[in-house]
Amino acid sequence: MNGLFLPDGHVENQVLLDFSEGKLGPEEMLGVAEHLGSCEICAERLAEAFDSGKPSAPPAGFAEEVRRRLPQRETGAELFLYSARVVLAACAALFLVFSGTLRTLAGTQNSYLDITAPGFSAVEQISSRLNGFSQQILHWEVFQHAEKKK
Amino acid sequence: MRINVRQFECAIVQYQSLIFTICLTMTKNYFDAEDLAQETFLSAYRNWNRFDGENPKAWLTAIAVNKCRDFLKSPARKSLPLPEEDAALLRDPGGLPEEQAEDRMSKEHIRGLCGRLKEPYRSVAESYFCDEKKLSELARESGQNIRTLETRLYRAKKLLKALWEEEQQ
Repeated sequence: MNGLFLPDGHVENQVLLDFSEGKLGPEEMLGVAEHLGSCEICAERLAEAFDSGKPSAPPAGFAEEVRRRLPQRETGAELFLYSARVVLAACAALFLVFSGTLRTLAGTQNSYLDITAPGFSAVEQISSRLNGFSQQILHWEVFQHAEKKK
Repeated sequence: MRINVRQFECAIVQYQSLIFTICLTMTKNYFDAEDLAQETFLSAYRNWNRFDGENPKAWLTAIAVNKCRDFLKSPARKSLPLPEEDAALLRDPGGLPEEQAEDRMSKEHIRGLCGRLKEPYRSVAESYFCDEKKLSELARESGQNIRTLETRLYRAKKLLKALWEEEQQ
């Protein structure tokens, strides 16, 4: 396309101005666009040509619509926190089940019979360890939240 | 370069007029331009890791030009003839286009095109394109779900693109 490009391969100044004013024919515009799409120098010059003219504003809700359409990214930290919350909830549930808290909340009286109690020491041990673990996760999350706030 | 969402959102506000104007100049269709301008920013967001951080204006300009060029060369870009189900959403599906406004980009002309849509598409189109309303504001005022409004706006845009094209023929 004669007259559109300089000897160095970049676009003529007047052509960029005509482009910004919509004065190029369809073929010429597409030919110039082919170059602009991969040349940062000419893209910058085209932007300046548009800046020197009269801009058209998009609808007022444009930016909000773009923001709404942005993909929601789940970062590694968010996934970890989510997993931590799930584990915490599971630990809390196990703790409630094995610690007798539920029975206390229900207000049921313990009936004492002359029966040798089965050995629940292993269960109590697990319950105690899970309780400690859930406390650690809780502290970790509080720490993370404080760090984020900083 | 790792994306900073807040910086990117500032870039949208800073460059939206430039990008929209480029798309409008190339496509000469207000509604196609709005769509392509949105696609430009979305593409920039998705490909941010390829951006060296030096010149966002030039980078966004190049993306916008490429988007418009691909759109103009695409055979699928023609909106006419409208499918029957879409034509049914116009107030006068078989009617002639209104007398061409002197300035096709004027608010009056765009309002006139929005007026050719049936409800509920007309009101959401008029609010968004003519009354400077954001969809979130419209959702608050009308009590309607924002996803519902988004779907209606999407459909309205499709019809408006076709009406614009019809006028050009």
